[in-house]
Amino acid sequence: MKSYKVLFVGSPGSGKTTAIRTISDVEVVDTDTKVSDSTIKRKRTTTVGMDYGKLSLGEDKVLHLYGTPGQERFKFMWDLMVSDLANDASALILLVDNTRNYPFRDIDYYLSEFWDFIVKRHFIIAVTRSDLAAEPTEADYQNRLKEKGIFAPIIFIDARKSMDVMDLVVSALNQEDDIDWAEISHRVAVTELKNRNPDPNSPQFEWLRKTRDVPKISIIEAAMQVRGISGATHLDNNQKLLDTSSNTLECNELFSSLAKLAAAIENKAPQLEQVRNISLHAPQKDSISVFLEPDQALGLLTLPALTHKQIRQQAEDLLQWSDNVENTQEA
Amino acid sequence: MSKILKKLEGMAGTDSSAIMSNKRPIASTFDKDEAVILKLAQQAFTHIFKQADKADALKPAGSENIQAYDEAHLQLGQRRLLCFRIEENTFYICILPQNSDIHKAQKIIRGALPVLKKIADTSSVQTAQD
Ligand SMILES: Nc1nc2c(ncn2[C@@H]2O[C@H](COP(=O)(O)OP(=O)(O)OP(=O)(O)O)[C@@H](O)[C@H]2O)c(=O)[nH]1
Ligand SMILES: [Mg+2]
Repeated sequence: MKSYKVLFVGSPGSGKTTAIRTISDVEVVDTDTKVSDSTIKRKRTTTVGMDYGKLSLGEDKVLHLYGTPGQERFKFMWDLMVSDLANDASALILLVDNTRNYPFRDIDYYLSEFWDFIVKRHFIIAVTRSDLAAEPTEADYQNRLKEKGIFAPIIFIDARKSMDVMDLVVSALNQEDDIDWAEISHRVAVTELKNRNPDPNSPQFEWLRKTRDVPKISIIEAAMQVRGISGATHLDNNQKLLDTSSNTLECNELFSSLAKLAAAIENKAPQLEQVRNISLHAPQKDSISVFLEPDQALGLLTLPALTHKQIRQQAEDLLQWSDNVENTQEA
Repeated sequence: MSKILKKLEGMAGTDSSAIMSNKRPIASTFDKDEAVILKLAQQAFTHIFKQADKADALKPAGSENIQAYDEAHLQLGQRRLLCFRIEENTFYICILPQNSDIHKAQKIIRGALPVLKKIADTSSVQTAQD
């Protein structure tokens, strides 16, 4: 029996679990759990272990499908999968959620996290959820990769559609010439049809119910559900207050004056790189941080025990999801 | 004196560093090309601490947070400028390159603050005598 493997990676909610379930012959090992922190609450479930599925490629061939958990707090699993389970994978498929505020940043991030793995394997970028956000477009992604000198196919898919996911698999294994793709696709399509109206008591139905998207909540509500964040303020590109956890927050003035300083530095010294963050600390005092994007800024008041890295991770996640910014493209 | 700075840089994983007193470097490993950054950092951090003190002053007297902020960061692209306020007008400023361990740098520099303060004190006496 010859076996092939592909590894799916991507941000929380980019559709890894969905993609693997859509084409797997076997019931996918379910490690999804209710979400409880910032990514959270925007999604009903998230993967905590890993996803695993299997697709038969004929009598003597099988494809193993692995998916990483998206949230960074499960990063130890990424290392484990890359060095062990999926070490002999022939391809890495990066799912990019087109509804994120800065999807290009996700590409940069996963490229750097998985670089050693990618250089020796097929690398494919699959853009999901483009039915919900049409931009960036395929051409935008192509230009971006060209700028970065990266050569990889970009495929727009709906992770819920089996034929779309099959396109990825075919592309990942395109160097294998003795696989009957027509036959496999037909089988997958038939199975999908059969599952279309699942019995309400079946596991699939239960899963559909669990993973339905939940209504979005504001960036401030999401921030305040994160342990360690005691105040949050969302500013627009003119450092004006959009939303805050409390109008009497003493640091609101400070947030906006720090955001203004960042803008002033950019005006005065355009040759320097963009100011991304300004923060203030003292040993026994809540930290003040402002995270800046070209179109918005987020101020956070956090407990002293939270490390800089933890604060940054939360802020980046929150800024990726906020919906009160215009759909701008990164430079 | 820059020997001590270099040694601290090695331990904390930072690149260039300087002790600034009243807007002037009294010890520095910043090279000529980076002088602009040091100057900008000095101005920006002065402003940041001023704003922070102003915000603290608004708090009701006797509230828990009487201690002043003594550390500020400014992230430019992937690099990060760190500043520790040693005294009212004396800063230790350094550059932390991309992907370095911020937590470690913070801890090591904090541990070295008494030494940095001593350097700052002695050299301001020296300048006064010159
Ligand atoms: N509209 C739309 N929804 C999609 C698409 N792809 C996935 N989804 C939905 O997005 C939601 C999240 O997908 P998941 O498969 O749970 O995402 P994940 O990458 O496994 O997320 P983590 O486990 O948190 O890392 C599900 O409700 C999917 O049905 C798409 O292309 N279009
Ligand atoms: Mg998942």
